Amino acid sequence: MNPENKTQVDTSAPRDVQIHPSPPDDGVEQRWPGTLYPDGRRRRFPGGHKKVLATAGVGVVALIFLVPFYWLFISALRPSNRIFADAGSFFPSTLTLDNFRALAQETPIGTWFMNSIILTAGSAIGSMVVVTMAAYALAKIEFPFRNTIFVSILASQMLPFHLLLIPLFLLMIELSLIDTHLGVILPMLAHPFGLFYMRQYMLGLPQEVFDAARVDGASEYRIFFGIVVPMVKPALATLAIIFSLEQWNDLLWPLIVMRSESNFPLSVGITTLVGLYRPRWDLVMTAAVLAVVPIMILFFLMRKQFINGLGQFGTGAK
Amino acid sequence: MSIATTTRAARSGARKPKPPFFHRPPVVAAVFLLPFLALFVVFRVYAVGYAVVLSFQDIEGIGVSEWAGLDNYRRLLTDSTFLTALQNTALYTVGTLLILIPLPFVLAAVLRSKLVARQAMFRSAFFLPVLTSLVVVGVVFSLLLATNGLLNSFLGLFGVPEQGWLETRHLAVPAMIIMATWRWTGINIIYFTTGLSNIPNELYESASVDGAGPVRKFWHLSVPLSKPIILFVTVLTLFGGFQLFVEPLILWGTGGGPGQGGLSIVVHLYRTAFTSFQLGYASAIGVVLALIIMALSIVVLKLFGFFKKD
Repeated sequence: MNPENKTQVDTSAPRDVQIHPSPPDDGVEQRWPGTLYPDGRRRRFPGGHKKVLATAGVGVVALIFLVPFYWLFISALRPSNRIFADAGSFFPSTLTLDNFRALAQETPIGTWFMNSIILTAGSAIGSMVVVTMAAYALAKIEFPFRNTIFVSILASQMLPFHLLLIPLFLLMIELSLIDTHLGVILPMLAHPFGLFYMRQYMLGLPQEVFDAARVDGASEYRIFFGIVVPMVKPALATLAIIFSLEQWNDLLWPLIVMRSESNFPLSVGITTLVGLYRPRWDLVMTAAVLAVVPIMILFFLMRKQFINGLGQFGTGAK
Repeated sequence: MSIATTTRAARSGARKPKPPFFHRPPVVAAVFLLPFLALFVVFRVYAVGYAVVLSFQDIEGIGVSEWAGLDNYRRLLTDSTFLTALQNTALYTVGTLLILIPLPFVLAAVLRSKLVARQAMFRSAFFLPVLTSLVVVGVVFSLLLATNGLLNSFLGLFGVPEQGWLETRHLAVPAMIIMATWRWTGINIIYFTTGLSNIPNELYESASVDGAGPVRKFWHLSVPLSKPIILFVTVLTLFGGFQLFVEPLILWGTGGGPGQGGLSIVVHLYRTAFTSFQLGYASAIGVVLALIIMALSIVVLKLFGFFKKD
């Protein structure tokens, strides 16, 4: 067999999912193009009054949704003694970068940022490896109790993580993984819904490719690395986004595992700053900006993957 | 084992040779499944069992435990703090259900229609909060909802007197519902958009032919045909609502807020376990939380007729 050729065949096979194809007429009146309407009357605005009104209405709601971001950034830039005092005035009188300087001097913000990156990368890459391997076995190899295993894994998604909090904490003590990066990452790797998503994706791959490779005598290992992994790249991208977001934004588990300040990720660091007797709003707001900006940059670079990925992942839609 | 040698062996060998051990399908499957299953068994299956066992124990410090029978559960029924937390969490969940289903549904329908220009831009605006860490949400809203904060100065324009959103017992849950509305509307818009785009266009066309207006099409086509996705979002919202933790923690620490009005079940669990170190009792809270969530999911699925044959 010639794996190079085979891999070329179908990398794009699983359809790239379109969440918003051209909008159908779902309940809202269609307009014919141009200004002449079927009833023969002419309208002054080509789009129609309704279009202007609806767009403006949605626009106002969208603007309201952007206000907290404006507030985040503007608060981080206000002089430290005005952040809380001026919490009600929309336009700041003075702007300054002093808070960022204070953040760098008074907190180990660089270390926190690095910890967030290590935890995020570690758990995203780890889960992707573990989930993809397991999904392949569950989707494409026949073996006894396959469905039982799959259904049990999926059913566990029904349980809230908080039920596991205390046993996992005790387990981490026994394994001496408290206050380690591994202790934060390990319990998160076996992601049931990630497995479900990847298995669904693999079930959609054309079976002929696998049959042909097997007839050619390729081992399952070779099929996995040579054919499956290249073919599931879009699904891997989705998983990378989901797992990274989850870990980057997670608070509860790292809050329990990480004990020393030098091991905190950003989320835990910010929480300790908030929990001070008198919250230091200058440090809190600037650290919050640093927690949000990397994700936003990634989002604007890959808007489609983010929106489609989260949509499909949640609904299991294809 | 080298791949090259086995491949050659398979080609030149007898018609159907028994494959080497590591290439038999069940063995291959085991190899691929092993990492996931091992982690799953240790950190989920074992942990769940452990949680249930712990909930029947009285634990004084790590490693010192005593069988307590049903004591922890009996205590739950009379623990007024737990009942307050349950009430707050339930109120919060109902509030989020009442807002986070209709609002995103209407926005999804409007955003898909040809009435709105620049749809992609708007969708991004609603989606950005979804990416924001709950810690940051809590931090920003503790400024926005402060008594001298932006919400009050905005409401003041309409003559509404200042409200102590974060300092008044009965406003703690509404304050968290406001935050949830901001944080989750965007993702639900995406879910509903996916659902709406699966409805065949011909249905709308034939409805138009029959003379149905936009409002009728919305109520008689979009809403009923989105039932599966509405069910899905309902269950998700229920799950999320009962797991409320980060928002009250950032707003009020482990204190529970004004008059315990912002205390959620998970905050109660967290402080029972990690500030007063009653690990057995905290486990019982966890078990009850899991049972509540599962029971409510089943009720919702039943209400939507999920278990009916057709």
